[in-house]
Amino acid sequence: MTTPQKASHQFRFPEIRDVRLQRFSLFAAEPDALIVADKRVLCLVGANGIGKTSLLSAIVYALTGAVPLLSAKFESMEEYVKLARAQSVPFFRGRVREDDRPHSTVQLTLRFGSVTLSVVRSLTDPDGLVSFSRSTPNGQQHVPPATSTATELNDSYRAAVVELSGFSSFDEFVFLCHFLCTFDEHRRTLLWSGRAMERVLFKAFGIDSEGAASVDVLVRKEEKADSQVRNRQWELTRLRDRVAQLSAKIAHESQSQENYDALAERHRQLSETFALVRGRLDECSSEMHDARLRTANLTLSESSIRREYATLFSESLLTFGSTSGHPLIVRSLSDQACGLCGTRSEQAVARIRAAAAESHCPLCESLLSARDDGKASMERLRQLDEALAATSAQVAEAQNALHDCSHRYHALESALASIQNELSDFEKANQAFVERIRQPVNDERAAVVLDTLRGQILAIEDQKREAAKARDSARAEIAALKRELSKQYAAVEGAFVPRFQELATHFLGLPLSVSLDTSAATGATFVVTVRGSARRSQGQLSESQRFFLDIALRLALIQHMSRLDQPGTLFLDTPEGSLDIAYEKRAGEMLAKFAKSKDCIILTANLNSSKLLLALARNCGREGMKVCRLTDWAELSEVQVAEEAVFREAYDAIDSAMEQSAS
Amino acid sequence: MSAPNAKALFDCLAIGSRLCEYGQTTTERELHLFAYLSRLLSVYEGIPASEWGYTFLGTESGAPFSLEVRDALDHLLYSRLVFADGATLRFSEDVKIRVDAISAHRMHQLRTRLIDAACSALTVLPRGALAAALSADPQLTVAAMAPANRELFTEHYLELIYRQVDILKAAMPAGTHDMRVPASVWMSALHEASLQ
Repeated sequence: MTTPQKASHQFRFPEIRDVRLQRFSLFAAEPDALIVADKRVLCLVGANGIGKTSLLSAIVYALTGAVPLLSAKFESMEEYVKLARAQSVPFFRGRVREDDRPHSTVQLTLRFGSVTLSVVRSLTDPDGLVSFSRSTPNGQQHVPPATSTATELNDSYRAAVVELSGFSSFDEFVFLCHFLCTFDEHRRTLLWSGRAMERVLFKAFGIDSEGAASVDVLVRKEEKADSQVRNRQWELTRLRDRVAQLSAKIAHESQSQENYDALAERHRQLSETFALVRGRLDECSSEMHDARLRTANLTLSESSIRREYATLFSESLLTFGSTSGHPLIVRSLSDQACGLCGTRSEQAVARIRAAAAESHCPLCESLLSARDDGKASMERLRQLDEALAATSAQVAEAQNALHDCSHRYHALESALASIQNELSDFEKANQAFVERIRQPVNDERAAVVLDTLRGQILAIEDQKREAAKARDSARAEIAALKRELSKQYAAVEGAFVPRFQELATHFLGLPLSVSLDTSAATGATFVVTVRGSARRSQGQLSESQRFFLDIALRLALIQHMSRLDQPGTLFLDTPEGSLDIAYEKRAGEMLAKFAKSKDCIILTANLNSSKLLLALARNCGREGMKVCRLTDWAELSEVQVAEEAVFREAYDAIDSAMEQSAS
Repeated sequence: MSAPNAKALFDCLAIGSRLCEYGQTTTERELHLFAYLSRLLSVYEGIPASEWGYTFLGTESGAPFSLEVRDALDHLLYSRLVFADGATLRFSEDVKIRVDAISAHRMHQLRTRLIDAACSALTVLPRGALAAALSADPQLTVAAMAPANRELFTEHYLELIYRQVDILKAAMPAGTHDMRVPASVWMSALHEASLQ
């Protein structure tokens, strides 16, 4: 069993202090540019094709020794990092002039807590460093010996990062920087990325690295064993078919082949149908689980409102009335004479009327309980009544949805049972067919072959059983790790979920939540629920919603994982490219909220009328944000040169927005 | 004093304020009667028994009685929302204002319709005649003679009520949605039966 860790605020993500380029000829006017990141938000702004993505990728490359990989088919974290490193050198080909590329470097100054690291990495050597140094606030500097090779310098840097960040390996640091901290031009989401999300979850919620690494190993073991089971089954089917074929050939040669072909085709159809229905049944099961949960939550809510209504109903109605309704008072006022002594005078009647309206008893002048016109509680009752009507409608809707889902589930269950029986009957009938046509063999050689085949069948059945055992054992271990993950998550859920909701709800403007699901076949993952409805697949959200919910989740995870005294950094590449106009301003506000807490953002943005950038500028102001004008560094195209006035206008708008915040 | 049954409290107030419109008065017996009539109409409407919220008992005299209605009335008297002058009850102006406000809530809409329909029976029969009509109600008649089975609207009595409801529904013109129509017809029929 893995050792539980302290679940929150354990790690240090790097804080970038400055970036210096050398012979980065993509920026013809400033190949040796220096960018000082002395504000929480650093915005690298430029027109299309100017090199924003290349610059951001260069920063991530200098930090991790690798550029984030596009197609992420990998079996382990270590494999991913190896593949990403291998793709990094070709990435910069074509982005930097060929004669500059061997000499192009990116220098980064970054901080982990009070320790500053300075690295210089060449674009052509991801496994080495040109230079590396480390210094503490009291000015003490550690510089490796001058005789150190590029690889040795890189090793020193990697060791320092592991020591200072708290991650258990440099590969783990790279993996998290790429998957968690970088949202790049490929728009790869973390939330729906299967194994990558699972790995991040294990790290974020307290399963130690050994445990997290063992998940990779166990998953591979399980998949391999499962594959062996399927392969053995396929071999068995093939061998049995051959036995049937051979037996049939001995007795009825010409007919057996047709029978065999027809049988094989029928078996294939039945197997495919079985797999299809099975898949649909699994999907329906998840839907039913979600629908049950929604119905239960809504019913609970409805009961709670009803209870509150009932309690308030009595309290608000039974407030004390005045004495003016007392029969004696009523008679006195209607008869215009005192009901007690019979005095008939205007004065007496007026006194009775006034006394009845006051808080004293007209007869003995005792102080009566205070009257309350009950307006406030009536208003509250009205609100509760409206809330109850709305919730009751939602309960009815949820129950209908559950009923439909249940109906479909049962239909699919029946269909699956039916197809399973048909398949089983078919296989039995096929066996019987084989047995029936086994006859005393005339051909000795054929008999020997048949015996050999039958022997092979027995051996492969044993292998299949062993593989199934190994698969089931791996599954049990994975399940145990997932249970541990659930336990660790439960301890911090109360702090994490509100953190995510605060960021995401502001952007989306809809009630949402997130929960951990360890039951999914694709691995442990988060499930986002919007308006009470779970969005398990990406297609259930619009592109804008999908990307920015993913960003909000990353922000929340970074805040959760990073130490309270250490800013985390998020790298975003033109995030506004994924947004429709309704969401731009809110996205900017969401990012500003993250930056204002303690954390940093380095983002690239197109120089257009995007409200995201303006909202970010307005919320951060000059104190919180710095804009780097990449159009000043690059060689502009003819079209871009012609529209320089438009660029200036756009920059001025950003400047004004930052000024507005200051004032 | 423990809190009264909220539904009985509402019914008391709604019935009382309707019966005491224009300065009139009512009695505790009438509160029980009209609450019972409203409950009968709820069976006609097909509303589940659990929705009503409180029970009725038959009495030797043939009049219906509810402990919850009695308890609600006690609370109202204590709060000076209702005043008693001997057997006469007068509901204060405060009551009408509060009842009007909460009758509009969706929570009470169905109940308000049933009570309105019950009280509308007064347009066809005066109060005394209505009380006599209800004394001919088969459920109350049987309960008066069966001390061991006084709780009304139980399985023991529902067959009787459903029979009446079926006859009444068959007699209604198609598309009758206004509850006041069956209420008046039902009470008129019971009144005729009580005269025989």
